[in-house]
Amino acid sequence: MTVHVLGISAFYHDAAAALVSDGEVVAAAQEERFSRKKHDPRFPRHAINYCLEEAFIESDELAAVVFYDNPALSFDRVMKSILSVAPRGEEQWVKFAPGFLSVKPFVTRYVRDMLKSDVPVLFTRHHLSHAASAFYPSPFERAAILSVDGVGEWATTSLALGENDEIRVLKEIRYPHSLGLLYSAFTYFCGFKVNSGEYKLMGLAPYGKPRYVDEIRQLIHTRPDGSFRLAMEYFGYLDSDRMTNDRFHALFGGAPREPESRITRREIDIAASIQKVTEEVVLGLARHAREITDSPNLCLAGGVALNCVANGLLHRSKIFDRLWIQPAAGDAGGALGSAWVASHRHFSVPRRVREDGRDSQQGSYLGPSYSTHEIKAFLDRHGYPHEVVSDRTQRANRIAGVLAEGKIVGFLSGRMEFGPRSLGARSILGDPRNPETQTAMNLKIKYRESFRPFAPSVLEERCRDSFDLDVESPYMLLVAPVRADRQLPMDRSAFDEGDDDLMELVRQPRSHIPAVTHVDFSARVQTVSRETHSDFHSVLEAFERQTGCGVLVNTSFNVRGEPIVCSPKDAYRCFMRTEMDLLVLEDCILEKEKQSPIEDDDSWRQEYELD
Amino acid sequence: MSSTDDAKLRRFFRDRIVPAAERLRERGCSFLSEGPDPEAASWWVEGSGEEPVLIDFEADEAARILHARWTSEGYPELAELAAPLIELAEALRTTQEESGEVSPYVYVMY
Repeated sequence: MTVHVLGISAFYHDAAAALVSDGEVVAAAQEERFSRKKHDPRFPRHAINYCLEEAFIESDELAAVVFYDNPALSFDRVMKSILSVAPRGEEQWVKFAPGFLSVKPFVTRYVRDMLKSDVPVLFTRHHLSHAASAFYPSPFERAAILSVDGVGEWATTSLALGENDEIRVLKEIRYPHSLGLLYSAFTYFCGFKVNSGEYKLMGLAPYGKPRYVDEIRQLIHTRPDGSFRLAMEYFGYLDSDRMTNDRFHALFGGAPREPESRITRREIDIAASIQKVTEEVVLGLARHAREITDSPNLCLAGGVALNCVANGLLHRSKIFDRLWIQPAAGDAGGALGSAWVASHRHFSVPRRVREDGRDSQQGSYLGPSYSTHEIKAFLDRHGYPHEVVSDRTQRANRIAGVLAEGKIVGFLSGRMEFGPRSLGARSILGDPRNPETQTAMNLKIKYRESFRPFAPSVLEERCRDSFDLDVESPYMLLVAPVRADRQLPMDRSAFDEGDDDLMELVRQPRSHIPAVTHVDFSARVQTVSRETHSDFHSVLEAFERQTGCGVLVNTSFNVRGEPIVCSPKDAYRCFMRTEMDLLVLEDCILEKEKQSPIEDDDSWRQEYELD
Repeated sequence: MSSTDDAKLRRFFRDRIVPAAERLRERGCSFLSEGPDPEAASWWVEGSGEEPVLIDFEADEAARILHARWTSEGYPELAELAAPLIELAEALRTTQEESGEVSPYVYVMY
């Protein structure tokens, strides 16, 4: 009989559900994609329903439901933490305790109420969920596993060894000493939103110089074995509702930047500095992991594993021979990891490692798809003009032609991605050769900060034509340099001499593909193979045939503050609210100029809280 | 959050958490190492290793589980908080269900 296990993450941020059947992932999705509330932390009813539907099972066919962390240990940490600072911390307690107390003890009730079933509900450790999410789908029989995040129950960093079906957590670093919280503190200080703005800080770093490294080294102390401690007297999160305090502010020249205010040299250089220190710490952890496990393979998970600049550096360091990173490295991936923990460790389902050396993440295309029939029914019902182009090559040629004209295409194809990156299933595509693309896409499509770079998708077989990257990168988790011979010289003098205008650098071409080349000539690369996404691969091939360039801009199909689109309806709405030119919904193609304006005012811009 | 919930939370903090914290401090108990120990060669601690990877946890048993844990660790001051803490959780849960929303202040530390 098939062993179906449902994994759930919820009540922090990025609630998700994942279904594993006899050890193979059948479905996984984040709740936000259905609820349309970014980083939705609530109990993932919609995602659970989707997973059961995708597996064609009823809830009473589940062997177990597994929650991705241990409430008893979470209570332990929360209470010991507040008892350590009381009588300070009352406002923090009043503000934050409800979000914890009102949900954490009641997960079993939530599950049973929703599923109307006495299915066993089990709980695993947060960092074990992360470790499992990275090791079990990896191509490795044996590997070191590093999980680095803000905090789970107590662990903020864990070092484990995975062998066949087993994972042993060997060492931990515990709260309040957290690399993730350190990075979040700087995210907050630079005026970005914690738990969603970290990658903006990462994107800002290449504009700056690491002038504050010495100051940051006063905040985090390290040991030769990679372990670290924070100097907590600089942080506010133990006893207040702020990540930082006056001592921290004094170290960095004053109060935090106000959100949405102008970014100054200080934030730019702080971003560069914290990125450098984070990389140093990650490399230190990795060296120790190699030393004590003696494995040539490393798996990574936890929110810090989304720092793809650090990942790229880790890959190039060759501390490990091979690296595998869970695409949903944050808390959503815990749903998947916890389902695997139960499958392999509780129900003794044997783990199967693929013989072809590839991973078992299935391209991370684990969410819902929509048939042409369903899409046509939607379009016809609403009277949205469209044409059906069933032949893949013809369709790809059409899309590529539009892109080559410098136009922007919304692309919905196949199963939705699991994790924060769009990998060609729910993507907005553009021509990377055009120096105007970055600004145009930021301002007219994404409605977001114009300093932010875009990422390239490249034919796997063409990667080395443009990038200095010697491995496949299907999940857009590695940053690598554009090949030196494709880089164009940049003049930083106006910017470095105190201009602070990031656009001075953005406007310079940088390479033959300026829209996806960051100001330090780096790129967050996705390599696309025909096996993992044939439709997207076809579009890239067609673009290369027409232009000689096998690279496209691939950004997530959403506007700022909105979750990535899930359904054709979400996609159409986003298409019509932006200046995209063409929308592709599987076989159906829609041209913007043929659509009637949506009867909608601009109130949608207030619909999504800025991230 | 309603003013009733606010009052409950503050009362719990002032009437239970603060006195427990004072008693723990008098005994020299410290839960968080707040800064780097310059004498320590390493700041790693032992991982969970072979501990059970999966547990049960039901709300009806939560107070007992937490009480047992904190008692076995030698913290009766904490153990005394277990039952009232879960009572508070039940009261807050009812309010959240009525509002249909999880608190927006679900934050990284909690």
